[in-house]
Amino acid sequence: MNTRFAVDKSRVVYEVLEGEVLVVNLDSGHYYILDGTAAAIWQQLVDGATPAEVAHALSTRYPADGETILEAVRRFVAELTEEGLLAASDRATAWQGGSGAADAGDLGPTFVHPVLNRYADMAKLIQMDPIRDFDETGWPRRPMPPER
Amino acid sequence: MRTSSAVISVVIPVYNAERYLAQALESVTRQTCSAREILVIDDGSTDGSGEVARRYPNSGIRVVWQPNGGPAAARNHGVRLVGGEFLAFLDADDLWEPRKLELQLEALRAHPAPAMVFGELIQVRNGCDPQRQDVVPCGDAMGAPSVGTLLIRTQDFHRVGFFDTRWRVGEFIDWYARARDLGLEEILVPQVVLKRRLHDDNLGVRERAARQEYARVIASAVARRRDSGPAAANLDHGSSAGGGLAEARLAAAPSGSPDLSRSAESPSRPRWRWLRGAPVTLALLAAVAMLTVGVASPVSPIRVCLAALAAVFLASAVPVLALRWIRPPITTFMIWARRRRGRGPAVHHEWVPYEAVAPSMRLAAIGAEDVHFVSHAGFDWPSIRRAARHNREGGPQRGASTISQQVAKNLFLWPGRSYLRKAVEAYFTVLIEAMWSKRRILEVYLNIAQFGPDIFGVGAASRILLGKDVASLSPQDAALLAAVLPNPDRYDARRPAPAVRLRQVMIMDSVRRLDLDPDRL
Repeated sequence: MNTRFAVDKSRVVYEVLEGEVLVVNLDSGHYYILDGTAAAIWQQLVDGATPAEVAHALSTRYPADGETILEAVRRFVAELTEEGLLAASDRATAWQGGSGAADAGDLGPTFVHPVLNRYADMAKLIQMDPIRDFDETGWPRRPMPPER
Repeated sequence: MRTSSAVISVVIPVYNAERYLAQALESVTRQTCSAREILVIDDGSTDGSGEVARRYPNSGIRVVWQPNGGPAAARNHGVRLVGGEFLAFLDADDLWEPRKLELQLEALRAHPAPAMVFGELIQVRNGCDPQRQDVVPCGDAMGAPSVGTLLIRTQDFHRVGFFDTRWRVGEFIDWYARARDLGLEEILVPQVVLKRRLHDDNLGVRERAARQEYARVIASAVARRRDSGPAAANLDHGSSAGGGLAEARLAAAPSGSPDLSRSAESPSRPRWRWLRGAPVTLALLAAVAMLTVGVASPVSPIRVCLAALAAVFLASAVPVLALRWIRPPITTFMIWARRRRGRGPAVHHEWVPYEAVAPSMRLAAIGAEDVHFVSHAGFDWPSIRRAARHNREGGPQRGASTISQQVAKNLFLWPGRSYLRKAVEAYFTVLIEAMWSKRRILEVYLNIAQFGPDIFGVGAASRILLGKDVASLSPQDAALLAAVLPNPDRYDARRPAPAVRLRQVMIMDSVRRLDLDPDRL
């Protein structure tokens, strides 16, 4: 509960867009759409908040029971790590209460359990798409295939 | 078997791959089913790639040079120049297996509906002996969509459209997503058709920036699906079941679905448009008559009510009618902004006639806020239904205001959300749509829309935020300005946040799909 998390930038990319977050796992080729509570939790986690801090921030905003929220956050973090989107990080810096809270403007009046929507319709394509680079050595240039 | 009645065109973009190009060309010319047309696009190579292609001993190969523009631009260039019934691509350092075209053509011919054929590919590395130019396999064969394994009917390719040249690494993912959204079926030939060469280059910082592009490509594909028909519903409903995760399968629309023809249609105006002026004139005359009768006759409750109704109608309709010709000197939204800022400086606003606004800006506003602007009658019902469903299901609040509704709101109403305001807004929207041309509605919108806490209209916005004249805005500038429209108090075009940048990209994408001539509006 007091672990901080980070995104493995070599495998995972994400974009924040008007209260929603789109996360792509380049290894598996799956992508995920997070909105509402899920997006807010994601933002706070990548900003360096621990699950406990996230749950605390949410419980000040919602009338819901603190235990329920903490449990929901815990399960959501477990899902995120299981999918390889977040990994425990050893960064020690405390969370500043950053942008996650500010971007949470789209949250509704009641606590909605965070949902991780996974999409696999472009998985193989993303897995196999050659990453190219443009320079004098010519393109396409490709990385090694993902390790199995 | 070296002959075929099919006309297959092969486009081979090359940029500095002189070492591999001859091998690639050989793999194309030695197909069991020969391609009729082989076109090499030399993408501004600085090595001998162009020379290798020109000297290749096969008269069937054409070589065209272009300034360096990247693989997407090079492939598009090639597609514009070829005339075959079927289309295939090969990157200059990859190799086709000898039966690639034969196997895929057979599969495609057995399948008359719009489709794209792929096959398995195997990754290879250079062999130890550089003189022999052999390759060694690396990993197992995999079936995955890839531009080098694609065979498609040229007409189907054009339904999907060209590769988007804005993307540096994700252009095929973007193209493939568009093809799936159109309902193109996907056929996978269960044989290896392509050897794809891996390079040992040490990819650096730029690769990380390029990876970010995957997220952008997919975000724009998701946004596009939400903005259009049935596939969108699938995405919106992707929900989690218990502890497990829902796998969203984007159902491909049945072949020959109306979606396929949609790209060819241009937005048309409703046929009854010419009737617009008539009911309004009649209503105005009736209101004047009712008012006169109400005032002139002996007092009776019904007459008083009628006269009051007529008075309300006249009081609202006459200003709207007048604004068809005169410039609105100020809007209620400007008054609100000024009040909120207290005694500070007045808001920035300068009127710019429609003709003086860069066409790119007119299109960006439509692409960003209201893609069905030219064809709807004030309300975009499909979008409203989608937003309502979305909001009912507890997602982030989403709106579906058309440009006409926004004009009604900004001109006459107050900020905030309430049913009363919505009702009054709808009333003014009907009046505006009935009395103004679409061109006038867009002109007023561009001039009163809010682009910053105290900045109203594109004239002030382009001058203050971008330091440019509104007539000379590029498509990028226009999309950037349009990107702040949903939240002008928070978004700043001078220091665009990532979300604004992404919106900018998506707006340019949306504009590209509009197929509108802003001068004929």
